[in-house]
Amino acid sequence: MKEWLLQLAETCGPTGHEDNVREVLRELAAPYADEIRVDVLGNLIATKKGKKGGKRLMLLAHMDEPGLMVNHIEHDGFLRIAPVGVYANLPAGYLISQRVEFPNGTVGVIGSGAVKSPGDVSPLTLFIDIGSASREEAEQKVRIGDFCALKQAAFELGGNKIVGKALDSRASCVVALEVLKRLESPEHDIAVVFSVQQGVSGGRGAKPAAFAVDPDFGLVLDAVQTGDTPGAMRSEIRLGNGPAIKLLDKAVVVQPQIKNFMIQQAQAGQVKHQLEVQPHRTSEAGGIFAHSAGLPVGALSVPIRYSATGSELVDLRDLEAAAELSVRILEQYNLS
Amino acid sequence: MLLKRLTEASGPSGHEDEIRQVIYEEVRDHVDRVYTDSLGNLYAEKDGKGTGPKVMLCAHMDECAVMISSVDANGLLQFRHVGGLDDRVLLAKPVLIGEKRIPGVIGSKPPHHQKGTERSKPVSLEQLRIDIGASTREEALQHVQPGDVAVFATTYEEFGANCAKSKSFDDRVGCAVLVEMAKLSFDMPVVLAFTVQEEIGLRGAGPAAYRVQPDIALVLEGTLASDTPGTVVHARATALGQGPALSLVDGSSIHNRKFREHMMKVAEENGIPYQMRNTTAGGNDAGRIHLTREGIISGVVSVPVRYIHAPAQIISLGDYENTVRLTEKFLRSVEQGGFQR
Amino acid sequence: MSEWNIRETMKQLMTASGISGHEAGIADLIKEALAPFTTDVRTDRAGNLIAKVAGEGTPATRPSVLLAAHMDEIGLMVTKIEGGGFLRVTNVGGVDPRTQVAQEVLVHAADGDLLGIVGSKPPHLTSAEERGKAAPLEELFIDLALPDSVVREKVRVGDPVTIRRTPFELQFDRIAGKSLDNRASVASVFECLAELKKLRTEADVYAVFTTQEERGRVGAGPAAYGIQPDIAIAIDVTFGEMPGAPADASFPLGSGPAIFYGANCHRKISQGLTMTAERLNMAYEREIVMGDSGTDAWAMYVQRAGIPTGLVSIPVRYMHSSVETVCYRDIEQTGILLAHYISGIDHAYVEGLSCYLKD
Repeated sequence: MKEWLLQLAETCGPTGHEDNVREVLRELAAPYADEIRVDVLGNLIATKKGKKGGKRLMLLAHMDEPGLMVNHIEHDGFLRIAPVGVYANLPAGYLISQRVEFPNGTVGVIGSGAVKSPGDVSPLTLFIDIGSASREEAEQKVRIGDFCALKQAAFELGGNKIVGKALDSRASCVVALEVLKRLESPEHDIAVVFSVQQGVSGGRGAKPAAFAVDPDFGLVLDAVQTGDTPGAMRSEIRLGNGPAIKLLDKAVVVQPQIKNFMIQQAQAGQVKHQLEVQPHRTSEAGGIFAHSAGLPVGALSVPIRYSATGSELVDLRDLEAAAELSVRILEQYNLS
Repeated sequence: MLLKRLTEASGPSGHEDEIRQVIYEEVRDHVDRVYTDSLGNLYAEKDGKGTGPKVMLCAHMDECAVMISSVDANGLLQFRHVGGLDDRVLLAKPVLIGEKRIPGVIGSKPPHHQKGTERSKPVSLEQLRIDIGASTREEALQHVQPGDVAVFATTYEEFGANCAKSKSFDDRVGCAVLVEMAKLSFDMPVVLAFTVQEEIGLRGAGPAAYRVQPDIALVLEGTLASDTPGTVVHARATALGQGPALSLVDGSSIHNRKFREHMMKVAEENGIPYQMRNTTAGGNDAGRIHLTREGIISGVVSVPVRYIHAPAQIISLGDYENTVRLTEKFLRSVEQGGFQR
Repeated sequence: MSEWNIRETMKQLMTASGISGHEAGIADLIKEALAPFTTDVRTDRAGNLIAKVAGEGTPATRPSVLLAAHMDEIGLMVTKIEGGGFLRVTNVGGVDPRTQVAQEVLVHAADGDLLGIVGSKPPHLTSAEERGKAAPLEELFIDLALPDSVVREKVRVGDPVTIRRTPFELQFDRIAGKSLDNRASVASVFECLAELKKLRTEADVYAVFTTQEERGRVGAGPAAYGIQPDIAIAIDVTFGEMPGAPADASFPLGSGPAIFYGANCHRKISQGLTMTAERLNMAYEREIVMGDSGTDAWAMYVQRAGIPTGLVSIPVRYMHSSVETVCYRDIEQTGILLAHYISGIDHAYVEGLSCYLKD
């Protein structure tokens, strides 16, 4: 999983433009899936047949990372941007001096016009410098409507941790891949969905995917911010304590029978785990729970530090535990 | 004149009766069937030869307006918004209330009676009143009721350099494009969906897409043009006179790149000018359509409109005509198998 | 209706607890109380409780009506156990922190309910400035009067918490207590089923007790999507008139049900309900809102290809507090209104709901 994560963390896949990530995942998933397809929105769906009479279960992890859209190219080659999704809600000052990359490989640096105080930085003062001296030169590499994401090298830290950008939710994608690999002859039909556009409105790709797959149960893999760093916002989540079994987020309250089933599986398998109540963030769980005639849903979150920055941090042991627990949950699923 | 008939008709969100009937009468002789659903969406279907991908064109019938909420003892009417209105555009405007189009004026304190500090603040919704000429509650209730909706009393007029002003170009201009398409013939099935309640939360579009199940959907909108003093160039959404605007991203969609590139190709091959819609603000019916069922490939083409959601909006008639042409050429390209999903 | 003592059932439901997502206990009580009306009761995938009362029309063409009353209530959820055994909480649904201060609460732990007090600093230690500000939820805590080790054994992050309140009977047929939002509507559905027993009805009636309304109308959409009724009517509570409440958006207690008019509901359904009330000589109000009604009706109207939806509301004072107050007669009248409206629905009426064009 470590190699997969290092590769995926460095792949460029901003919200709505996940092609590069999808291609890497498609290649990695191919050996373990019976069938792979891409739907109209760009979701990657890898399926595996289970035993006769089994249920159909869906495992979901989002491929996208926060992105910035180019909405104007200045005459002297600088790019103007509009933040989309997560970045639209963060102070614009966070972005100054970040390195960015476009899916076609073009790289650049974010700068800002001069302001009186840091709070005055806004998306209107920001720009990207891709080293072009004129609009014509810039248009060779980038067009209005193109999206970029942060560019950061991923590396190991302290033996079992990984630092990189987009670990939310490439870490979940890696766990999903590992689960697909381990489920050689699954009990139930499994559909692993690598979804698009989680970063906007709580998740756009997931619902159409759930509609197409029409599963009996959905397990959403995502990430949750820890509360174990100095001065952190109140959260019981700690790095290294295993995947968090989601109880509540902004869009979902996990049904007690599902919560209890998942906790029971963790205990039976002696898998390290913790409990997540995260009222300020959404995941795709809420959207798929309420889609069509309803879908029982559970979620596991990989603990992550420094979420939505260029240097997110995860513990590989949490990923391992998440994969183990996910396999148990999918294999043992027996709720009506 | 089609744009005049469509923009002057009344259709606040949830009360689209008049505009729906007007559109029905425009299209009924040109299509294979017309019907409505329980929300009030209007569908006009052209079967063509029945082969080929099914295309849905979509435009919303509803407009922003106001609703009478209560009647004061002195016969003046309090009101609330229907859709996203800026209170500052309401002051000193005439309106037409209800089915009978009772005239009223949105009045305010004269400047002579306002203190210096008052004059620099917008008049709040709570202070605004509609005056229909009644002096008592009983007199007012002879003509209007709480719950009645009122539209701006703007009339359609062509002026300036090939421009027109009216109310509700957003989205009667889109409806007009659909009506023009109704009059043409295509090989593949085309469904013209005139939706309701877009302005109060994109309500009609999802059920419409669920019912129609198109292979491809194109939304025709009237979108904001901010090529006016006080806006920096890179915050401009669209500009008048530069052709139909192709959407990139808005609050409800990250638009399909392949669809947009195909649209650009169609425009270039046919010598039709176009521009990009450079803002990420706003939302439209495509937001619901593209996520319906298993997902539907969709896009948005818009006519730039200055002073959107205000009583007097302006479009370039050249932009409108180019949008009609672009839509037709797009449909021809689909008909000829030129669009790959 | 007195033989089924629906008023007592409602008080029982008000005393019990079921915050959004944790409605199973309430569902069990409702299922028991449904027994005199129907045993065709099931739960769907979103946890909605669905009770069907078959109509008398021809199976092929008889219409179906869905009544939706949400069975969840607002409450709190444990987020952290502090040193000393004190509990930190977050809100589930729209909880005003000011209504929680100094309340007695029940923490619904796995092995049973624990009594707690919502603690705050004593007045002696609070500055005048502090007393001028409302404490946000993050600063409140629950005191179980148990040692740290015992709390950690018995209580888990995620345990639901509700205010402990038994209903009070006030003067003039009024009842006060927690979760009249939405147990009042649940009771009105029962009153409807009781009244339907006296009437001849073509339509199948689905009495649906929805989940997670307080967290965004989550359960109602799937319920309507699954059942695909010809008509869906939501029943919820609306603002009872009182000082400070806007005159056009609040309703006197005792003035009967408030029938919704606005884009969120099908006009013919609003009119049909109104005509029924007039026919019955029933006092009623009109609630006019142009956008989102804030109820299950918003979720139901846009399911599938659109499901014609209506909304009737019961005025309640002090909404989202533990002393919500209702006039029981309004609940009764709401049930009667719904029953008589439903018994007038036939196939032709339903067909007419999609007709908007004039030839």
